[in-house]
Amino acid sequence: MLPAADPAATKRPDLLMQSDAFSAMLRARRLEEAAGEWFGLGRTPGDLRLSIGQEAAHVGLARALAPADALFVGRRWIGHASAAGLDPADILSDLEDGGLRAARRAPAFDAAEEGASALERAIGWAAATSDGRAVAIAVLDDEETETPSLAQTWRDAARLPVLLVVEDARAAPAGAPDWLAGAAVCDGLDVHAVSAAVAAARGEVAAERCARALVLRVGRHRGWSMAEPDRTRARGPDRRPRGQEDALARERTRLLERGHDPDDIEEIDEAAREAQREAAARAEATLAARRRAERMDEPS
Amino acid sequence: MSAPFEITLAAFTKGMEEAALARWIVPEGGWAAEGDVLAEVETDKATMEIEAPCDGVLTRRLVSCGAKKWPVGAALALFAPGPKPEPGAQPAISAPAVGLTLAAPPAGPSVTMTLADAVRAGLAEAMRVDPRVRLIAEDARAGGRRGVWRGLAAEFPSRALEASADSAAALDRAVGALLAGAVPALDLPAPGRVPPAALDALARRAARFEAPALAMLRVDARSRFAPPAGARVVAPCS
Repeated sequence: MLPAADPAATKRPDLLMQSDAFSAMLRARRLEEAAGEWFGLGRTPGDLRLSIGQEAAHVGLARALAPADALFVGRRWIGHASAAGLDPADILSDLEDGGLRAARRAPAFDAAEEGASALERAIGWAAATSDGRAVAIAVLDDEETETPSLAQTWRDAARLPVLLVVEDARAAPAGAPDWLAGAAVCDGLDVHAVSAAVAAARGEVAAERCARALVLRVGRHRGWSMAEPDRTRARGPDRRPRGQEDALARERTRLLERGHDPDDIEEIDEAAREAQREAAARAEATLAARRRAERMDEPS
Repeated sequence: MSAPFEITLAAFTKGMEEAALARWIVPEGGWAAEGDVLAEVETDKATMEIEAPCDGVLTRRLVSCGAKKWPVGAALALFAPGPKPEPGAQPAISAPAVGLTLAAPPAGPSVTMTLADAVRAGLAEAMRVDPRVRLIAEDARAGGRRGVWRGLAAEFPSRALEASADSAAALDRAVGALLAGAVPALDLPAPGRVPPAALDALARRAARFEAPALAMLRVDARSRFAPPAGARVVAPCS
């Protein structure tokens, strides 16, 4: 039996702030689910790697960034793009177009095809920016950190304001590469812990103008690889199990424990679904307009 | 140096009325000794050479290479008689340890320089004019491969950015610089192995943000390298 909601409590600023984070996590979840649906329908070229269940990492990280910071994400980028405030309709329409993943210049956001590219782009951004307080953040999943050339790339970043965030779903940290040995570690399934840890690491990077790494211990991503199901199953056992390790479920429980009205939570959930439906409709309209324009460009 | 005069197309054989310019041998601003071949022309029957009538500088080419036929008597170039300049008397580029200075005057005869010097001078000028321009190159701070970017890191210490020897990684750094609001001028380290997807990633972002970006490929002219679609080819003797 859930505790009855206290109308006064739901108006407390800390609870409002928590529900705001919850709302952002729900929007990221719904967008990833929609992207997975489009992939299943054969609408997105290439592979698609989702990170359903890792919304705490997406939202917690986005909330710790300064306005001038830049975010570069590897292949599990959709949730981060949502949390960073990119229009979900643009994300979906670009997904079907294939060529360009999400990219924004101010504040900078970029989705790379692989983690090594994301870190290289973060280095290029950090070296070229003229803002002496801004930080470039690169986000990779644990498998992407196994790229052999990454150790050298990480050395190149040493004297630049780069924060490397690794979403680590390994069952045991023993599998992490040596060059990540000194990284700070935090619970990646807790949106508030992620936000605090990223803010602290980001502050160090901004002050010292040198690179730092932060490992978020997350559960296994759902939608591990929608293009390579056989490989996914083969790699499954060394990943942390699903089940209770769902960031969204954890945040929902936390809100209820702190006195939120279950109806309010349902309302937030429905609002996120409605926002996603509306975004999908706009994406369809954009794609239809593009197809019409392409047909007009074709020689008769 | 004396005032320039015209080099005209002479009738090499009896009955010759016209010829096409096959190629220029001496560049604009280049010095030639008497008897040196300045250009080659093709008639219906043979390829003939146009020689320098005396020591001097080919100050300006008046016609370009191609199939177009020029009538006998047409002016092909302006040639200024004069002795060979002393080495270092009027260098195209002074390249001291610190800074780069274009010594060539804005008007007047062209100067002779290597392609590497010309590219470096052009990029240095662009960096002076536009503070957004960033050189991205392997060993950029040490002057780049074969020293082609020497002096740039000293003149623009915060704008010469290091890239790895891997083309895809270098292109990724250019993408990052582009998103930072810079104009990346990327010296691709291995033009023969440029991954199309990485080049495409930079081109698509440049197009989306309507932001200029330059990726330079230095290629041995004897190689069979096919430039990517849309690339502008600059040849050293064009």
